[in-house]
Amino acid sequence: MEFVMFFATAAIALIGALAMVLSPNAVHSALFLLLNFAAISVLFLLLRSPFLFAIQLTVYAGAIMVLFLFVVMLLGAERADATQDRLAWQRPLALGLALVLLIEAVFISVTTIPQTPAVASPEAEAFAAPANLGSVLLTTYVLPLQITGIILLVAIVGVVVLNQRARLRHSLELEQK
Amino acid sequence: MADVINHVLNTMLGLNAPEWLIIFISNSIAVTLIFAIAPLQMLFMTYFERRAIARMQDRLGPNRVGPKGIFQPVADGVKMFTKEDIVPTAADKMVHLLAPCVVAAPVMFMFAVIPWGPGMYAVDLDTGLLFFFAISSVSAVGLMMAGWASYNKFALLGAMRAVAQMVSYEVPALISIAVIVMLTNSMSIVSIIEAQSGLFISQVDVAGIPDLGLGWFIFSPVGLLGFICFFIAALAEGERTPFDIPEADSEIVAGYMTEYSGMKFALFFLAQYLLNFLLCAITVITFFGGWQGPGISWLWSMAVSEANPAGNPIFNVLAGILGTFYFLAKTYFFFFVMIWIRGAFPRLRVDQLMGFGWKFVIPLTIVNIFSASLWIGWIRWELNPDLAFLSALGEPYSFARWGFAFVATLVMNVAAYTLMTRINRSPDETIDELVADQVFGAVTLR
Repeated sequence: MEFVMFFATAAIALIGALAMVLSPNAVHSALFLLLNFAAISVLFLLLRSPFLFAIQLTVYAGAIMVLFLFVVMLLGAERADATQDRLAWQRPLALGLALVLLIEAVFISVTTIPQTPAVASPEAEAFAAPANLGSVLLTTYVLPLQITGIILLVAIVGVVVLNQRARLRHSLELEQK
Repeated sequence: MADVINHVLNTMLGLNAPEWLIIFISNSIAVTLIFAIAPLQMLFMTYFERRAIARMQDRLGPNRVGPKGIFQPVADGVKMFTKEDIVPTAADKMVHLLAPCVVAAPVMFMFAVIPWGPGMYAVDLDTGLLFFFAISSVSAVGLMMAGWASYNKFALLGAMRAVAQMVSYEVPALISIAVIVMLTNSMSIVSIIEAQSGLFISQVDVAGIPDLGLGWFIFSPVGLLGFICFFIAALAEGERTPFDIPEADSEIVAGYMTEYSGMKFALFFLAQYLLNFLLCAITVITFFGGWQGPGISWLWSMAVSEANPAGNPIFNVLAGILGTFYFLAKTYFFFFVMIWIRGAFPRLRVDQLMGFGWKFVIPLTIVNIFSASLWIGWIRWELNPDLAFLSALGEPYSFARWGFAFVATLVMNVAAYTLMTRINRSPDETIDELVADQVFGAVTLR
């Protein structure tokens, strides 16, 4: 049962990812990316981590995708221009890098990951519990957490500063007129 | 539910049914019930809202179809089914078709974690509360799809407003719910309800008084402020007046629903009313004890449950009926409050909505987190092994400590409220004018 679920979800995730890359319409791409995120969140559920499932949905599907869609729809940039703004070497380079990544992933999965499927033990279930995750984040990984928080704070302050500067310039122009 | 089916099939009838069959039967029953009950709720809610708002506006409302017009929603449904489905020529056909489904599907998912009575839930996730809000954030994407695919300026504007509003009011909603997670130490909706048993003096048991099921979180200053902030955020998330800006019909026709007709429009309508129902339900579950009420724990102690596998299934049914009655009565009361607010207040402007959310509600919820941690510290400090000797001091001491924590957090929350109203007013405005203008959205003409 779990096996069937995994392959169905993985297939949906792959289809979503491929369609995202191949679709000429930016809004369609964003929606396919959303499909991909949703499938990945179901994969987290199959790994017995409902907390990561919920976080994946809120952060990626709820917040980041909405932001993407907001920008694309407001700019009206949904139709990509076929000739303009396309670097000739970009596509072969991307394909080569993707190939390298694929070989690397296959190599690592063949050599390091155990071949027998893991059995869901009570400890494994408790490992993904939100209380456990929280205590690990605030003890073992407290430094990376703090650094991420500071980076996000700097980004927010940067947005406010840039916005204020644009506003200031605008009001100066109005005064000169 | 699996407990009861196991009891009936294996213990009472002696069928020796395997475990997978019992799980299959209980899940099928739960899914069927959810899909049958949810649209029925929506039908009743539309009728209830139209009659109640009509009474408030000194009209009669729908009263022709059936006794007192009770079959009006059925007539509306038939009309929706037979209407022509119009898709604009310039619309993106596929996205236009999918958008109502993307809006409606998450709402049905959310029903899965709602407990209707003791033991009456489809699944008990240990992150149930987070699941609820995570799923609800997906429907924002559906709104954007609808607005964009219609190829209509009004629809796009409506979608932008709806999403901006949903994203900014998700923050206060989640922070005020986080207080409840702190109080119960759990994100499972079932255990949040179970934590609200006992007496209304929260977390203090008195010997000799039975469990009345009244230990609701609303009976503490922390829960009260959390409830107020959460309910305001719920009004905004459910696009209810005074926050119905996304479908302000006097400005942008019907917002993202402008280009929809027939059953697609009905799906948006269904999703919206069910979301309102669920938001009222989650308000009741987190702050008003869900199905808790007098008599439930007495009935449940005799029923089949994990703690008591030898109970009588009849008491399961009785406790379920009483629990569902309490739950629905409270939920419909809050839906009535939503209608009441619609009858009483005008619509806010977009800037008032954003200012109110970010400058007033969010700071209050953050202060509430601080007072919640103080409250928990004072109420439960004998749980610390070093302070365990304090629990030997007995009841008068724990009452005194409860009273101190109550007064201290109340002072803190009232001070925060007063401070926020002072900060938010403009220099020449009195506080009464501010409340009339900003908080209630009433435009004061001078």
